[in-house]
Amino acid sequence: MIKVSALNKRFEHVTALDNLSINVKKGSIYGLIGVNGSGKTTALKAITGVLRPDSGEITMDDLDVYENVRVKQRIGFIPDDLFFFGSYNMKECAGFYSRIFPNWSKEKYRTMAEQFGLSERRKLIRFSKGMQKQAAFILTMSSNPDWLILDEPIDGLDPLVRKLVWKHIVADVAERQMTVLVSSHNLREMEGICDSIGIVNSGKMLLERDLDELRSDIHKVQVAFGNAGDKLNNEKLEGFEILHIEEHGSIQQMIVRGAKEQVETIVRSRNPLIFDLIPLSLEEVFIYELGGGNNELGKLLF
Amino acid sequence: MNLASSYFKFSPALFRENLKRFWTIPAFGMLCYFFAGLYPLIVAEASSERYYVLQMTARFLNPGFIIFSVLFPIITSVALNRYLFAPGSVSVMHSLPFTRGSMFFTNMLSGLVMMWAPIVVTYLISLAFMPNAYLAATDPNIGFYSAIIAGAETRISVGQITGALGTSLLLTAMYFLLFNLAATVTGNTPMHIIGGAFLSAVAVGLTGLVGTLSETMLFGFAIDSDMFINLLLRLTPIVYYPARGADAAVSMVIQTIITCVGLYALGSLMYAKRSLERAGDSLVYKFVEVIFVSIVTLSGMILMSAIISAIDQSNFPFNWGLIAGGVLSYAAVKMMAQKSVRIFNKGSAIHFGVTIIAVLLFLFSFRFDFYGYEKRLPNENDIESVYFDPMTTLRNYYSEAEIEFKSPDNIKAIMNIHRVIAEYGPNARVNGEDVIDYSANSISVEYKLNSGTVSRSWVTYADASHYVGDLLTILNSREFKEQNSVIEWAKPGINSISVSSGSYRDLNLNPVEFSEFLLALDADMRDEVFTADSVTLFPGTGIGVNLSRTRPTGYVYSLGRPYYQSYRSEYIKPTYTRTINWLNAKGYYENLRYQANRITVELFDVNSAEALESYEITDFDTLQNILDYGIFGDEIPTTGDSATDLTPYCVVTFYGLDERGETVQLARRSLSPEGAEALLRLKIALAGS
Repeated sequence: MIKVSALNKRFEHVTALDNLSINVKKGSIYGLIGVNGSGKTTALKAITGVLRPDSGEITMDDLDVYENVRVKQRIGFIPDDLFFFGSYNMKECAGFYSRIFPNWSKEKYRTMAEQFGLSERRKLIRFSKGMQKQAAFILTMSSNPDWLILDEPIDGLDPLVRKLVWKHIVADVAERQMTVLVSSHNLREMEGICDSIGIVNSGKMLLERDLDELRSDIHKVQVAFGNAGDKLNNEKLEGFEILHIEEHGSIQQMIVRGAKEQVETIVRSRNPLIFDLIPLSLEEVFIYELGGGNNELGKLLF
Repeated sequence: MNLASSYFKFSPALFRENLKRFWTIPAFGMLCYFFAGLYPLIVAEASSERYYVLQMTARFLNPGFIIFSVLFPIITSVALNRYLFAPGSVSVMHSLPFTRGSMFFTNMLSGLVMMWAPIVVTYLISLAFMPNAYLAATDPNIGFYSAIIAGAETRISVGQITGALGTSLLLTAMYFLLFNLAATVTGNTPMHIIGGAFLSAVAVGLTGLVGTLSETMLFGFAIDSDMFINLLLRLTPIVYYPARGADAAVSMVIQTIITCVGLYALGSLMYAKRSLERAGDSLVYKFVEVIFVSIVTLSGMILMSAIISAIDQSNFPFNWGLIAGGVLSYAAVKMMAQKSVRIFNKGSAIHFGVTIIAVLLFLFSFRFDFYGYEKRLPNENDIESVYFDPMTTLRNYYSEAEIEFKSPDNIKAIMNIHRVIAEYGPNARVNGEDVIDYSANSISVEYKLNSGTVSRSWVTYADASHYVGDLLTILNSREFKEQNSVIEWAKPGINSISVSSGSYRDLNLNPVEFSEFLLALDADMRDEVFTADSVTLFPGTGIGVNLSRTRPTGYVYSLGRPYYQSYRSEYIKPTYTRTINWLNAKGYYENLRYQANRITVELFDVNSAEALESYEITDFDTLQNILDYGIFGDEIPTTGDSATDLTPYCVVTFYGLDERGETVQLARRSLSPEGAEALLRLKIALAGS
């Protein structure tokens, strides 16, 4: 597992990470999401041992990461900003990786190179950005990492390749119990692949939850009552919490937190004329948790 | 983690990858060394030319090699460290399974191998040319080339080649480590190169700066170009090796190795502590920025102040150029360090104010000698010997500048002179006496102590009578006479001796006369008893002797080494009876003397060139005095523009009789101010009036 505790990092006058804690279970896929500049990339660079945190602890299977070669040999990291040796093609890069990563699999490399259809002889810096990302993915996955850290891995990839990428990741998670920590803005895709998510804002962990738990916990409710006195508000309720409420005539639109069954029971007990209960998408949770529900953007979105 | 594992961990995979990625560096290096050293060696037709080229290579004085010893470290360091300067590359490289220590160490080793390989190959091939070089050395035509390399041995040894190889490797390594250190504290390639150049030049630059300031503001601070070079030679291998080549002293080799180890350790430490998120910034460490900005600001202030003082003759360094230079250089370097023109904020204003105050305090500390430098004397018990050179004070009595005094009496006398000059300062005068303003004395002293040297050099108007007793102790001492002996000086062999005076120039003695003449002159000089008058009155005398001696075999002059004095001048004083008798016996003496029967002396205002007074001397005793002492300066042309351009302080014209018995002008001479002063002191003015 990947465990990050009370991580702090400042860049001169900017607090990039503020007491950040992350817990990624072994053999799971963890999505780290947040707005631009929230500290995701800094967190991932600290986790992979690139940046030295000001304070806090980062361990992988209880082993310190920073300056620990044995742990780093088991980490696969694809940063958002890729880099390859200027004169190298993919085959030469594979040669280098095979010498520094003990779990390197030649067969896997060959298979993946074939599947992705990339030329091994062409210089990597001549590749398009998407192709470079694929090459980085092939090289990283061929090293059979125990912990895979990905920063915006599918940006710039076409849907077919994206599917292939996720397929390989899911397969390694299932077969080798690989642990994956991935940051992305593509929340729909994250929703479909992640076991748990963490929402980071201003360097702080805002919310960290299993995705299933999250889905069953927050709902969007649309309701209308014949009698205006039956309208819902926080004062009258027990067992669930209204996080956000808007009224359009007799129709109330709400974001509520609570168990689905309990919400249904309470609302139906008041005999509503209209009642819809829809689970929130990850995108909606993300926007709402980041304060979107209470600002202009949120009003537009909800 | 222990020291060895943290700082010297080697990654074979990274090493191999570095060699593979940057194979062009050794390849290009081989080409460069080939064209700079080996190619000229192969194509040189004349055997002596080949010998010369090989000599240059074997002594590490091949200019190409010296340049490459700087150039390739820069190229290699830039290539190997470039990944540090972009966020993407630094993230990828540092996420790979290497520690920071192993990356730094492995990169260093890869760089050294890439730079050293072509050097080693070049020197190995040079060895193949050794037999030819040896044969060439026996060629009689080689003389010219031997002269070029200043008396170098005519046979090249394996040791020489090995020494040059070692020098090349060491210097290359030092520059490489220096630029690697620069890479660890800078955030982009231009600043990496600037930082490396800054680190290379900072020792030389600061030494020059402090030297200039000290010389300007401290009375007695001694630094001339030779001393400056000597200081730098001791201070930095960067100056030492290009000056000395492969003939490096063991101490300098050790110093260079220690420097390399220090640079590596510091570089490794800075690399380990480096904030990788600063990739792309100009400077990675805040304290480095403070040091960089402060030094550049100080230099800018001094430079601008020097420019201003050169333009309007204002007082260096305390003129408005100081602040102007401070503002301009601070703004420029701050913009460079912060990669922004938006530097005018409260923080910068405070930093600028602090920097300027620090610089001003630094300058004032010199101006008012906070360190007590001017009055400081070494502890007498620590002094092993003293070099004392009174220069203009005793110009005509003390030819051999390199006289080393060890006797306690002489050391005490020299320290007394030091004390008096320091006490009186540069402009002190005795009893306010109206002496001529040009009687500045230059005096220098160098004490050799158990723990180093202490040097002073003064230009002082303080009257010599303050310390004349001490001067006499020195000049009349046996120690001085023995070391000032012309016989001793002539031991390497005499090339020529010429005797000349204002009336008769360049009487060249026959070689068979050398020893007789030198014996007479040496005996006269040894017997000479200096008195207060003889020391202070006469800056010159009439009959001069110029001696030239041979250079010892194997002596090679190089930058910073004492220059071998091949020439010496002495004056034949009226008391040198043996020498005068010898010249008389040979029939030379009469020709060397003016046969004047009348002398006119004209005094001019030195500023306006107006004639102040003139007088004529005809009485025999005074005439004889002048003719004996012959205080003669340069001859004044009597025709042409240059005749009127001269504004001498004093002009002496000699008249005598020609063969028909008619009075004619024999010579017209301008006198130096010292000469004019001597005339006054001889009371000739009174005689004239």
